Amino acid sequence: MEQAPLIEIRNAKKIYRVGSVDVHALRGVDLTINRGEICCIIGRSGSGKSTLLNVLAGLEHVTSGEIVIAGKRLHKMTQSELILFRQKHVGFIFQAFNLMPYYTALENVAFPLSFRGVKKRRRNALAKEALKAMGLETHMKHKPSEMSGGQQQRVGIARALVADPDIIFADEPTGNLDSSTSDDVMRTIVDVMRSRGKTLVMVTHDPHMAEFADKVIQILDGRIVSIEYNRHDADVKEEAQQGEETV
Amino acid sequence: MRFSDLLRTAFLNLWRRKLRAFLTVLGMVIGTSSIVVMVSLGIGMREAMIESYSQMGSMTNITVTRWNYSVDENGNWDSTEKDLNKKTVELFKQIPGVEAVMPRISAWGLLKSGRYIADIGIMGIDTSVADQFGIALSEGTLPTARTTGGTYDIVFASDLFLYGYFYDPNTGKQAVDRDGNSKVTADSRFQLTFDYNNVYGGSDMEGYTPGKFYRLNGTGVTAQSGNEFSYYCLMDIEALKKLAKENSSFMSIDTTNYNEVIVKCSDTDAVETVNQYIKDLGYGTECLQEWIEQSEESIAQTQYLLGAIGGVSLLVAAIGIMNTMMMSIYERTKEIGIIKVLGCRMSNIAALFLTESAYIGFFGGALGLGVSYTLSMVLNKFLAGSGLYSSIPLYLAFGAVAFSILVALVSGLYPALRAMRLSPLAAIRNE
Repeated sequence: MEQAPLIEIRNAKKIYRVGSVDVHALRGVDLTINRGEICCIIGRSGSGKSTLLNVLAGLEHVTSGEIVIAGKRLHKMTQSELILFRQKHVGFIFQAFNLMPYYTALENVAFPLSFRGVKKRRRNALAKEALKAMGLETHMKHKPSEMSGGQQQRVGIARALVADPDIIFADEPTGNLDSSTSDDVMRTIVDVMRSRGKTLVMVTHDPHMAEFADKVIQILDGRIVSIEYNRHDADVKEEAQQGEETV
Repeated sequence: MRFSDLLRTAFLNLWRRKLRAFLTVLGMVIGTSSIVVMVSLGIGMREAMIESYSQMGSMTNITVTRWNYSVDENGNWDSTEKDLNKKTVELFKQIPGVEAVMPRISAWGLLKSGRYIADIGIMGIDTSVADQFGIALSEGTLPTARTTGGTYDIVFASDLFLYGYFYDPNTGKQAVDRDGNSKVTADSRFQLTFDYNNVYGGSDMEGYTPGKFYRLNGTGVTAQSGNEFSYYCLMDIEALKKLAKENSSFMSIDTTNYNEVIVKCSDTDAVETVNQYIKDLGYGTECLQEWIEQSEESIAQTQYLLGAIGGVSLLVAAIGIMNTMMMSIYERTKEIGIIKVLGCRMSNIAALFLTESAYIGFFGGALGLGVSYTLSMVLNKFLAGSGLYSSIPLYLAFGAVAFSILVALVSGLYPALRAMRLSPLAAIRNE
């Protein structure tokens, strides 16, 4: 059913220059992620996991290597092209939610659509739909300060999904939530991604969160040390058993 | 991003920081109003200058005289003399851009009514073109060339009966009653003589032939229209010429030439070429346009100076805008990062910040204009009569708002570029 992997990374290296010292954040990463996969990149702080997410989302360039997403060569793109790419293909869920504090939930979710030139009425309709899917139909007029952390992150998820992107990137999406809310939110994320067939790439340092993913990529010192497949239910088990080349 | 969304988002961004936005706008208000008021004073000066000139005569008129003075390369004065007669008048009429031509002679005479006399200036005019030259009467009709029975038609100058021009030559007393009204009115009987000895004595000298007295028929009174004709009593040019010939021993008026010929151009644009044409014919010319041009040069310098003084506060306001926008960018580094991650284009980010600047410029300019109009009114009230006058024409009003928007846009350019180049990674960093 899948022709080519959605995301392909070949020998990606990222070197930061801090003062006169070179910091190797990525030391040659090779990775493929298929359409519809729920992936989790896990590693200790400073392992390079966030850098990997950033280069995948086109927020920064690799020093060398190739990143191909949906047939587009991200490493060759300019900032403006990357922004257009994000508009079309990428949704983003932040650790700190990053909602606009002066906008209501509805306005926050509709906001990214305004950058795509969507008319206000259509924007609001889409945003309402997305919020309803998150179970927030009663909180549309609430500002972030009037909502709990879990509710805020649900608004964040709705915002990431509203433009119907192929890939959602999530950076420690439960990092600012307590453990019971974390599980709730994580389940919500994973469920909605599965039901809509979206690809999720999530970064976390919490092994417990990794349990929700299909594919767990462990990273240490800028290198991938292991890739594991979780077995959640019958469907996933089947897919996972078929192996890396066809999923 | 849609333009309407851009406008709304930028406005909300300003609205969120009301006080700071207000203070920045206030700076712009002061800047704009100071420059507008300064420029309005300059414009007022110019308007007052043109008005005062236009009281001296029409802007489209050229006064032509027989003598043309010129200075050669060695600094020597030279003058040429040309005839100014009926033929010349016909010649002038043929020049393109000329609407009408009015020959004029002027004379001084003594007007006598009972025991009172008045010194008057009489202008001989061609009544057929009186309309074109704005010769207006408050009452009566224009004088005719008729001289039957030694009676001459005359139109009295409007102020002749107003300020006690008439006096008793024996006592020197003004011919006014207790209320200050002239005892002589347009309905009195009048005689005209050009021989001063008739009034001040000496006419009874032996062998002296005194000048004649002429009966006058007052046909009207000039209107106080404030042009070059309203200060004179008017007679038909041929009738006055006849009087001048008869009284050549009392006055030296060249009856073969006109004193001057006034050429009226079809519009102010034609004045320069017609003026040059007549100059090239060898005549001396004078026109208000030439004077105005000279005055305008000096007024322009004053205007620049005034504008520069006002410009200083606008410059300060512009720096204020830049500062506000830079502050706003530092504060919103994370927010800018977030909207970049959410897919806001670089050009949209720049446009957002430029729009915010433009709003400050627009509100500052518009409010500043309101302040300017108020200040201008107050100034005109308190400066009335001091010669200073403030005038804000429509082009200044629109220009001021447009200019303050432009200044704001220029001030916002660098901050907008900075915002555009901010890294989207700022969104990911957690404080």
